[in-house]
Amino acid sequence: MDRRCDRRRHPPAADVSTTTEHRTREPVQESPSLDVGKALRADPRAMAVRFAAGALTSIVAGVLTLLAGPRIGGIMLAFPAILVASLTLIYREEDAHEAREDARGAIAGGVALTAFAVVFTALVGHTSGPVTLLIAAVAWLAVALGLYRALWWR
Amino acid sequence: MPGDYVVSPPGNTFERMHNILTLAAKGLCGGLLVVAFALLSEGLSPKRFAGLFGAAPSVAIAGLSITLIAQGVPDAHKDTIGMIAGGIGMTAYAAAVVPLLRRWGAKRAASGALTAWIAAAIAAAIPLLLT
Repeated sequence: MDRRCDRRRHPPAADVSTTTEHRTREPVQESPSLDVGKALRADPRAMAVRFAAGALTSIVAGVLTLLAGPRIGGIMLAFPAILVASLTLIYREEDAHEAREDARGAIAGGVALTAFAVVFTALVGHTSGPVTLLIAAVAWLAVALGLYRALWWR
Repeated sequence: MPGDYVVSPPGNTFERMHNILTLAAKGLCGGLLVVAFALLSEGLSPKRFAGLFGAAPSVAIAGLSITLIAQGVPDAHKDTIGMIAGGIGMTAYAAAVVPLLRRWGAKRAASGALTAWIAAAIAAAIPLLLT
């Protein structure tokens, strides 16, 4: 039987993976790689769920900005709605181990997200808007990759 | 007086339409950028590396771009002060959800860890928002 269909009918228990569990501080042996074909074969329904999560978070952040001011609305710019959706989908389509691995990566991603906000706050008004966004995005990528390299890539 | 009627000042109608269009643009751009980062994440391995992009600033880039165009630099600056607190909350969320996924199912763990996001974001927001 198809593994994915089977998992949908019988969702896995919290920890049924037979894969060796890595602790958060343990390095990952596999080198990072990008498979464009795999990305293009992504499940459209899963992408629709993520689109809805992203759109809803953006709108809620905008409404909060209108009601309570930009500082309060800004907090929602880092609301983990997408991570909630991703973890739930990964857990259902793959297993609990893969969901935990994804969440471990998001710890470094969260630190990088904070760096994005700090860099943007420091630079906006001193450089043009698009340049500030670009520098903040580069800072996010640099911190995310730097943390991954330092913590887990051997 | 008969014949008199209340008409909203043109500024209010314009402002309301402006707000609705701004929200719609933020929603559309936020959704599209999230899908773009999700597709990238799908193609990446190992899963821990792909997870970096689960916390990508997709909603922030969309929201800040529209804010810069529609409201200007001061609002974008205030947005990112709040976002620093949210980012600290995101890190706390990801750290909390790992052990929770070991004990509970996905939905319970993913939603339960939101308390870590709320607690960390509030703790970080208090000093940031008071300055």
